[in-house]
Amino acid sequence: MSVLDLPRLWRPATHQALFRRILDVAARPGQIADLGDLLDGRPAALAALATFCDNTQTLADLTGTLSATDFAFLDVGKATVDKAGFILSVGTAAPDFTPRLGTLDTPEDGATLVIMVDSLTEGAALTLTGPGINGTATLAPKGLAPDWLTARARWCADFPMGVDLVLADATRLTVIPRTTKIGA
Amino acid sequence: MRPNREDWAAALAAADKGRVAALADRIRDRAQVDLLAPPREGLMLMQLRESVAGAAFHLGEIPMARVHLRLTAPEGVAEGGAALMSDDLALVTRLAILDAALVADLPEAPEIEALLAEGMAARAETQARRALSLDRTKVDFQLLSEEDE
Repeated sequence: MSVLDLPRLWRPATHQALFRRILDVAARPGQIADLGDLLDGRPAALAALATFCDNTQTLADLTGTLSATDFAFLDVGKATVDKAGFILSVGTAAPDFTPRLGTLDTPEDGATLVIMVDSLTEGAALTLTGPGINGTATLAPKGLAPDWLTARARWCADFPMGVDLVLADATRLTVIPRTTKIGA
Repeated sequence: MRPNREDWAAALAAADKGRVAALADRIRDRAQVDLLAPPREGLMLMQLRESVAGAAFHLGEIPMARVHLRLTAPEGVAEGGAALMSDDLALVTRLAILDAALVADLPEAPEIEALLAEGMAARAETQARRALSLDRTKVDFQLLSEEDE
């Protein structure tokens, strides 16, 4: 019997639905998942973290927007940006750090960067190619400083090491794995 | 007089469950309750220290439930929590609500204090009965050894 209802974002059924949608777009870079019906007004970036994180993971919040309650519900450890498995940042702030890139033996240790942007469809078009993309795909993030793409190219230069990006606007997100090539 | 706060949950858990539930639900219905951490119920390892070398050991797994919340009522705001050796998350949630209500000194505080007194009395009676039955099992080994000499 439940005396109090969990907020929608933290219910197991919501996490299952989020996981399915995020997995689908992670397998098809450039496609956008609309999470609006699952969020109850919370940002899509937080929904991504709620799906990815648990008490075995670490998170660096560079936005300062996550509350103590958010951290408690994420049940994730805090870490500095160079050691965190997950990093939450805003797209307008150019990166001035080097995230975890993994090693040749453990490329899965590369960080996942969740970057909050203004929109995924109203900016300058980027062309994506690589596994999971039939030919080319386009993505038009608005509010993503060009330095992110330069840094991402540097971080992912030594495949299989590198980072995976999740770009999220208010209600939607897309995933750019380290295997994806980004062109202007 | 109120007992120490750390004893509130155990005392209320020993009080009449129906009245505890009714009072907590009445407070919940007229106030806003926000969870500050995910409510947890499950098994946790209980660690103890043995008394000879002081080494830590795991006695076994115990059921545990824990709730942390914020209660916002017109008369005040307070954080409340409860953790109990129990698998009854509904009960522990209600204890956390009563904990916050008592901290905020809501008008229901006298009713909560009455339940606390009832629970403390019930616990004292249980502990006295347990102490009595334990007392009967005590053996003075030193005395037996002295008789051998």
